[in-house]
Amino acid sequence: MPSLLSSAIAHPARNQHLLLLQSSVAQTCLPVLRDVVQRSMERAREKTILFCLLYPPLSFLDKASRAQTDRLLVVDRTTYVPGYSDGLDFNDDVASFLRSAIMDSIQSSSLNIVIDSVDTLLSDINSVSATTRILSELLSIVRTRGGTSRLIIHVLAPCPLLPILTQTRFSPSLTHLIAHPTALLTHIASAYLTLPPPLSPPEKFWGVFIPISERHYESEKLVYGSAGEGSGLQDFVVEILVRGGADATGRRRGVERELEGWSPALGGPCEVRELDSLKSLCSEKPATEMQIVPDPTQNLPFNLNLTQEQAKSRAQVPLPYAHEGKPPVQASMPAAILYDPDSADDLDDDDPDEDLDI
Amino acid sequence: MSAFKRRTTTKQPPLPAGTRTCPGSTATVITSTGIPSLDDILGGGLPLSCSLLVLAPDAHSAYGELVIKYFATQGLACGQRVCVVDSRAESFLNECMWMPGSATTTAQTADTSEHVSLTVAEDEEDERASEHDTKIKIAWRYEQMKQFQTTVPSAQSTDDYCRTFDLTCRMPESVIQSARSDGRFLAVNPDEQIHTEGPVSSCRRVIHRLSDILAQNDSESSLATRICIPSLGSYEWGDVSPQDICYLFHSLRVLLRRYPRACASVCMPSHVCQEAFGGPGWVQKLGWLTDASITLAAFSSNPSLTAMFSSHHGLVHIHSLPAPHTLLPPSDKFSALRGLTSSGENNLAFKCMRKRFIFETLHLVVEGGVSERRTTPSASALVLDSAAGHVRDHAHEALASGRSSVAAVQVQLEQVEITAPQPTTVETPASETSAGSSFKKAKVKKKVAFTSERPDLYDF
Repeated sequence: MPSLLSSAIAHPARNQHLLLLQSSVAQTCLPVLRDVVQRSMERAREKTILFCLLYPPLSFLDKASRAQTDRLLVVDRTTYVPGYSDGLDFNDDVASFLRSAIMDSIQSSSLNIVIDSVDTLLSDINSVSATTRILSELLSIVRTRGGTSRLIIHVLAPCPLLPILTQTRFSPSLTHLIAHPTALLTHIASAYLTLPPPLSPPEKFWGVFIPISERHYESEKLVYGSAGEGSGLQDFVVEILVRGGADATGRRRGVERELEGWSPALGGPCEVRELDSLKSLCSEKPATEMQIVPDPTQNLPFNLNLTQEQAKSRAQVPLPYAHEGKPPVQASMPAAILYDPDSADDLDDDDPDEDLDI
Repeated sequence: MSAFKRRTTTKQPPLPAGTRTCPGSTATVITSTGIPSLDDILGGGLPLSCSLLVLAPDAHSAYGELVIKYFATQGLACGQRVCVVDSRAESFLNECMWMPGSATTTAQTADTSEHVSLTVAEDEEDERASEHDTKIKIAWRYEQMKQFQTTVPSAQSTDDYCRTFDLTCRMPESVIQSARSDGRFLAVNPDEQIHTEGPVSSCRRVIHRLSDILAQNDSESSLATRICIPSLGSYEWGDVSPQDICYLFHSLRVLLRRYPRACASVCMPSHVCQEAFGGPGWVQKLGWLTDASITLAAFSSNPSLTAMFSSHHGLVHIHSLPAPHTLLPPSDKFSALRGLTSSGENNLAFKCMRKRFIFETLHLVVEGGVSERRTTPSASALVLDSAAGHVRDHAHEALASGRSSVAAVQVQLEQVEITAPQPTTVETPASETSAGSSFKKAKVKKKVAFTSERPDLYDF
């Protein structure tokens, strides 16, 4: 079964126009963003516009992709500081800039707009509603473009924009990727005794996982605390939430949540159990539910079994209340009293007992 | 006392279209919200001069907006005036539902009533078909009892008070155009800048516009006015702080009391409904600022809640209920769903079906929960089932004869559990070891399978 993560990155569905990548202080999601950008550059008829607000553009491009500059347009605003730089304000020129960029790219079939740090944008503009307005304009441009066009946003939690971007009013369909450190899963397995989904019932796992993952300080404490290993691990866990996605048969599903892994050693998206740091967790066998029930009928000094004749005669015994309520089976002969006179009984032929029906 | 008769009969002014008097207090005029079960929770309907706030803290669904759409559609359907406060009011109305099967939109012909009853029947048939294969085997003595009702039945005939709407039908363009030309559809845009006033927050602007509209309508006609605010605090309203929202609700209440033929229904986006936005006690504050306030807590993104309550789409929490002229809300006495008069207060949940949206009472499953212990059926469970089949024949014969004793019922259970050999069948010794395993658990879809001792209270 193709994993949701790989399909979200490499083969976007036709109605998914918003891809939201969420990092936190404990775990960054930038490797996934880099992979998305590189794959979109590999596709022939797609144009990608990359707004670099925090991370340098070179971090998204590797040597091979630097050659294909016609498919990628980089807007480098990493040195822009509002009030100190001479460049135009993002609000004013973004719309006109985009329109000109779209006019240029009229040959390509789909358009990807990537914003590498939307909380930097928020702090530049300093207004949640204005930033949301800009983002919804970008999203409407992408949606009118159609096809597999996407707006790809990277956000660092906690951010006041995040609950707005996940609402249905902003975008009816959404693919939300949240990066979690592997330490979180090991903590849940040891403290809550709940293993990741294939090994424990999904309802139980998500009931435990969702509240603790929303408390960001817990993940930070696990990674950077005294018992933590720091953030140097290359592998991490990705929680994928797809809203409005279609099934293989085309049926619309509500909201799907999955937990998958990311490992550069394995080339990107992988299953949770393939991650190195979680191999010890996932190799535990789940407690066997089928226990061997000791059979009490073995090793007895007496015989509990029935022979054939005994079984047959037992089957013929009528059960006491089985036929309650049914009319009784009529006997073949009418009821009669059979009396054998015994020694103490005096039968006098002169005076027979006529009332007795013997 | 016949001596004290009124000389002149008091002439009450006629009620506005689509409203009626509240059964609990004759001074209150109530109007329908478009959803019969929500009307029942509010005590008959939403009273005029009251405001209803629907909170929907789940980001992945839009049930709050659905309730506002029902409210606006009901207003247009029964000839009231509807004022939509939204930057995209036209598209909001285009997404609204409408009455089923009506090519003729204005007249209430017999066709629509047939279509209405047909739709209701189709809906019930859908539900019945889905229930049929999961019918629980209950003891025979309960089979004649009526199935437990968890919600209020929808209006059967062409009810002028509350129309039946079909979620699969969209509002016809002609209805919107005729409402606009009659002056019954007004749009207020929180976005528009009124340059003469200088920088003023969007909430103040909206309140000014609403007071102008209500003052104008009050002098012109006697139609009731419904104010619908589908998304208060979204980005079109600018940067809205909790104080702005409190100001808006307070001013709205002043407006509604001043022009008592208006009522309002407000929904807020999910990030505004949470305590992270307004601080601790925010939801309670909102409940005190509005006359009626409910929360629709949907399960959509939480797999564990969806699995636990598989037949509902979310929980309903009530924070305040309208009581404009009485001390206690009439809903306490008249609401069948809340059930304050019969038993303790019921838990409420909502469900969005293909054609309608209903509020229901929420009950735990028959056996007391999903997480009860389960004994796995053994390998010879098939033999057990065939033996049980024979047992049921016996039980049915017992029934047919009419002798109903407690002993027969008990014996039925015993015969299922213990694979005692029947006079007609010969059991293999292997099946006797399966006596330890019990019979299979009933299927997932749980239903409450009996009614209470007092049928009249649940006769709704």
